[in-house]
Amino acid sequence: MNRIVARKTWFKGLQFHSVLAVLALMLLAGDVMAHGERAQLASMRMRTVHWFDTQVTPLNVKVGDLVTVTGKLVTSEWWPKHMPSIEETVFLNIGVPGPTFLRLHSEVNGVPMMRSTAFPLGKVYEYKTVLRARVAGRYHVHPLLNVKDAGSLVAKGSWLEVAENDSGEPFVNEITTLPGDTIDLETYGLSGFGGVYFWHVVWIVVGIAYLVYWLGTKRELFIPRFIRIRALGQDRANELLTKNDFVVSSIFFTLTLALILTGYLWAENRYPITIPLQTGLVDVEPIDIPAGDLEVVVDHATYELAGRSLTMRMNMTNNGTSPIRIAEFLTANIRFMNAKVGEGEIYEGEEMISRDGLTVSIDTIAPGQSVDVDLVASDALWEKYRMTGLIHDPDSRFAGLIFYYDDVGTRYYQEVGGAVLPEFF
Amino acid sequence: MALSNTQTATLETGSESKVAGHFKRNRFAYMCGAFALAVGAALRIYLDTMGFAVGTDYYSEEFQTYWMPLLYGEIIVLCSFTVILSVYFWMTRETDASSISKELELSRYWRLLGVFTVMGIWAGAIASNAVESDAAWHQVTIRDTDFTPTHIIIFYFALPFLTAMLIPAFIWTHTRIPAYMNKISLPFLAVVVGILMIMPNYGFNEWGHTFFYAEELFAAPIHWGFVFLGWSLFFLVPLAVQLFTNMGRLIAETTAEDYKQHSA
Amino acid sequence: MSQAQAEEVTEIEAKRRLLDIKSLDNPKALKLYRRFDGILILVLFTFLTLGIQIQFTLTAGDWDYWIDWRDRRWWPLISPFTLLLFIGAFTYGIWYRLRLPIIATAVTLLLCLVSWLSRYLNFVEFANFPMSFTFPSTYIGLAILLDCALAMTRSLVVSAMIGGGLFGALVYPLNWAFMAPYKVPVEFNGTLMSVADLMGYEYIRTTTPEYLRIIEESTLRTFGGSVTPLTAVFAGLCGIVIYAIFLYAGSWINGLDKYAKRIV
Repeated sequence: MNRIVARKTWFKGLQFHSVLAVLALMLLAGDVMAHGERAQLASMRMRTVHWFDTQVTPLNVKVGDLVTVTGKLVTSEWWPKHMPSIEETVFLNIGVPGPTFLRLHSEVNGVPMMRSTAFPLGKVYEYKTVLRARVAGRYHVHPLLNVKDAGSLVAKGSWLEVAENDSGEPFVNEITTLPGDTIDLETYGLSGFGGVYFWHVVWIVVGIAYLVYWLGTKRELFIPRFIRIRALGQDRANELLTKNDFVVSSIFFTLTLALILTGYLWAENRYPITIPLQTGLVDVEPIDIPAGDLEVVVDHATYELAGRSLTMRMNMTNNGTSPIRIAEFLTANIRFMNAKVGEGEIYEGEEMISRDGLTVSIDTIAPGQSVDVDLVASDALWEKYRMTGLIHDPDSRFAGLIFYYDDVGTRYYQEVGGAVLPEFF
Repeated sequence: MALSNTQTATLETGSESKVAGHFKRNRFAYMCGAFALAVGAALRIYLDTMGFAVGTDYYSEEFQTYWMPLLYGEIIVLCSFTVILSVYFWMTRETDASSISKELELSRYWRLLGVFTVMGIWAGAIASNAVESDAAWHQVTIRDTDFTPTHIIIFYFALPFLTAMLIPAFIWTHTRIPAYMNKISLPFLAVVVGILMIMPNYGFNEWGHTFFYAEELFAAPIHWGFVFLGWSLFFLVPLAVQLFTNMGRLIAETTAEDYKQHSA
Repeated sequence: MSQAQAEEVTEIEAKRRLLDIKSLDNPKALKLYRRFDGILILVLFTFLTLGIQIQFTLTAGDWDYWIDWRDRRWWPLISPFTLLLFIGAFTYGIWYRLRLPIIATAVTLLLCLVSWLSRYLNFVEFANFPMSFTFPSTYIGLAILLDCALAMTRSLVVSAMIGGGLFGALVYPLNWAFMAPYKVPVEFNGTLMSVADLMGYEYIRTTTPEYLRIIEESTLRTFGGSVTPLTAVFAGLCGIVIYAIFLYAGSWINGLDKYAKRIV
């Protein structure tokens, strides 16, 4: 049973929610596998950002515990030119259903990411986000980038189980302000004299009092007033307004102005140090993609619908001194791994992996060797993640990362991409 | 099969006044209002329970099992409701305004106000429940379909249900109340058309969200079509003026000293 | 219609209007008027609630949902603009026909009440935000100033100048009473933030990224930090202008209590 069951307190007395939720859980079966990542066009997912080494730890926590999300991403050189670019404005975010977690910290290449930034294409970014579990439930947590005017780019998700904390005490989120007060953001500023509730009640009471005067104390309301005004004509219609109306209105007017002024001055006095909202872009130094010694030229690529496989023919030249083994092809968050090489860490709870999904026509590329290589990435995951829609896209091109290892086990990666043709039979 | 009016006033014979006694309670409004609220509450509980649980991924089996049938059901129920009621009111329309007594006419205004009350209750439910649920949803989850859970409730039930009540009410008014027979009330028409047009406007909304507007800003210009159509409610003022004029006159006439009770 | 016929019609109408007026001294009629009025008020208020909720949420909603959107430059400008637009259109008709200066207070009070209910149901219960992050703003005080200005001056134009101006100008001071604590500074990861900014960062909104906020940004010509008073004066101007424009729109709509022979 995999679903998000956030705790609800609405209709406490009747417990309607709990009953319905239990009923629903009993009826349902199967996993909620994806939250938005399957919807986008296949070619868009392949040519925007390549996420890898995505890791969420730990996967079982209690409310109040910390969770760390780390990983790397490469911005694709094949970024669609017609689309607003990640080079303009981007924000590192987390894909969870509402604030079920608090974000305590986030950084890209060591720079704190409270603000938005920009990512040039073809570079590597290492990100880290620290969360604190806030609401019990089971959640699919995705690292995510919001790209201004383009939309959300979602990394693969990991299931995270959040249990109630042992003490059962309400969640508290305490911080210390610069003037030195320690406050709980969950309830800050709401109750007490001069709080949000107080002032809202004051104004609601004043508003109701005003309406009660006009609608509750008059003998004649809509239809009779309408008839009188029609009979009097517009020139004399003001005769309907009594002296009392004038007096009451002027009292309300004066009282309201005084109340606004009092509230303002009181708050100024109570909170003498305040600042405007803070915003603005921050810069992040990108890291160049580590240049390995492999030179790759894509010759052509075909997508076989029936076989659910992508076949890429490329010319590879090993300019280094160490033999090279192709270990993995990554596209649209799916890892196609070469079982023969057996390199590449798989993290706990990681999804979207085809453990022997990659077939490479050559085992090792010797130093100095230049050879045509066929890479076949094949798995039912193509279907499951709606990548078969590739042939319905208005721009049938692909991109992905190839991971390869030298003889001492050092990992390198290189982006490849190009046109892709469908094969129907 | 237009019928000529053969009904007579069925007013209670109270002690104080035959006319006044009739307008104490509006059972129709109570019953239908309670029913509308029950439907709204049921949908709200469904959204709260199933929204984040099985509604975040359109391409999952659960979504297809628990949300799409609701959408189809809503469309079928609302279309049938509107069409059947509208056709029935039109087919049983009355043509002879002169045979409708003043008491009957006034009691029909009372009924019309009852219908408006039910609509008002529904309008209040939309305002307090549905409108911002869409904001709360879309600002925290990734949009992966045009048929998100909150859209299924607000776009395909809550707002269309208002139209589904307005259209038959419009036809009923224009075929049962003498002041509206054989003519069309412009402000009433404006209200009905304005609220109705919200539905075709979904087309623009979804098209825009798909092709040129990728952010979840609620105040974005792409949503202003809904605002403009909401302005059709401004026409409630002239519609109220029509009602004041007609109801005021009927009350004045039927309560006058020298007024003779209509007899069948 | 010949002139003689027209005169005859007017004469009949005049007689009827005399009867209408006479009914205002008839307790039986008054009782009925009150009953009908009660429902009319209920219907008007519920539809006003829906109307203002749609209008406000789709034009100024984002600023009202999140405390980290309520800045010094855009929020105090946009909120009164969108409220006065809606209020203006209704105020004209209700003042012209009924001489009741209630619309601004009714609209803002209803908006406030419905927003509290909606924030609780949708943002706190449904989407799990704390109320301290999503509580609504209040505009009731401004509306009372506007309505009282109308009641005292008995002139739409003068009240637009006084009330419309105050409505626009005083948004910030009115809300500052309970908003100030959220603008207290905090140091976070070596960066200066307000409490509101920090809440916006900590309480995750998956599809409401930081850059989406439409808030004040510094310019080379932001002199001496006079952003709030400058915005207040400009918002006052906008208030007067938009209120006047929509009073005019209201006057046009108010005159549309007409009937047509057919739907063209």
